[in-house]
Amino acid sequence: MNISREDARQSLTMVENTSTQTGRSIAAAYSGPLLILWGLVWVAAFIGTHLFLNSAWYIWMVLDGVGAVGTALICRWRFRAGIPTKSSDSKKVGWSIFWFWTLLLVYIIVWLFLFSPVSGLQLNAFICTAAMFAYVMMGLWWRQCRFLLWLGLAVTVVTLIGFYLIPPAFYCLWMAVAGGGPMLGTGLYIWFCWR
Amino acid sequence: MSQFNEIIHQPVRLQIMAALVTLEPGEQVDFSHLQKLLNVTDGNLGAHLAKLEEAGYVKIEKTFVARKPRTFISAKGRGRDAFADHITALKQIIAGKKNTGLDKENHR
Repeated sequence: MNISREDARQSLTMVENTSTQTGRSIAAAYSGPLLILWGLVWVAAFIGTHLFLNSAWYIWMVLDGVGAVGTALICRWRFRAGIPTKSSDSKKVGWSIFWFWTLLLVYIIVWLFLFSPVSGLQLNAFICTAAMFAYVMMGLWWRQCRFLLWLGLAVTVVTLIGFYLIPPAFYCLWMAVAGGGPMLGTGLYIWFCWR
Repeated sequence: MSQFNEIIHQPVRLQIMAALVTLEPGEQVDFSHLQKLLNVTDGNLGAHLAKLEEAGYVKIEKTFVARKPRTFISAKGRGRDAFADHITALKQIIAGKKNTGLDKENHR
């Protein structure tokens, strides 16, 4: 077969595009629904905290519980159905992610006991940045989920801005919009545009 | 010298292989997902997959998930090697290190 340089160039471009689309569609299938879920949890929990500050603890416990159960159900459904991919390692990867988050939660509790944050604001900013650190790590590990790195860094900056620059009375509203908003927005974007 | 592969070079098959090698080794993609990704019909994708399977480049596994028939496709090691060779050959053509035949005709 004789092909020109231009044909070869077009073929390589086609390969690169297909490869990018494949990676994105797989990333979207798993992270899209999870980011939408956790974006909604953050938005609802921060608005709830702003409105009912005295019940903040219960609001976060209930909504984080909803998020955790939702995450388990989404992952179980995806892994079992093999949508869009399956492999013998799927289960292993799933359990690694589960233990990563569980251990992070344990460490957060240990650090809270060690450092004893003096205010609810400190406590919240600490947990938010710790969760975003996990996003950053996951973005570094999985090249197909590299956007998690940028999302994690962006929400960390947003949290620090909220902590240092926003009046405490508006911190929760700020975090609902500038923290939960990007998570929800990223989830919706990759779900509808990458899948 | 890397090998230009006529089986793989057909556009749909090139895209199929590009999608499959993006996955981790041993990872399988759902047929309907691949079809949606490449924007081709059932029959078209099936025919091209059959050709790649015949060449020993892909593995097609038919199974049941929740009592529904499903087809999963993955790239074999031989397919990954052939694809990598083909990509190298394309790069060599672009770099002018490989005789394309066409260029020779153009110079006449």
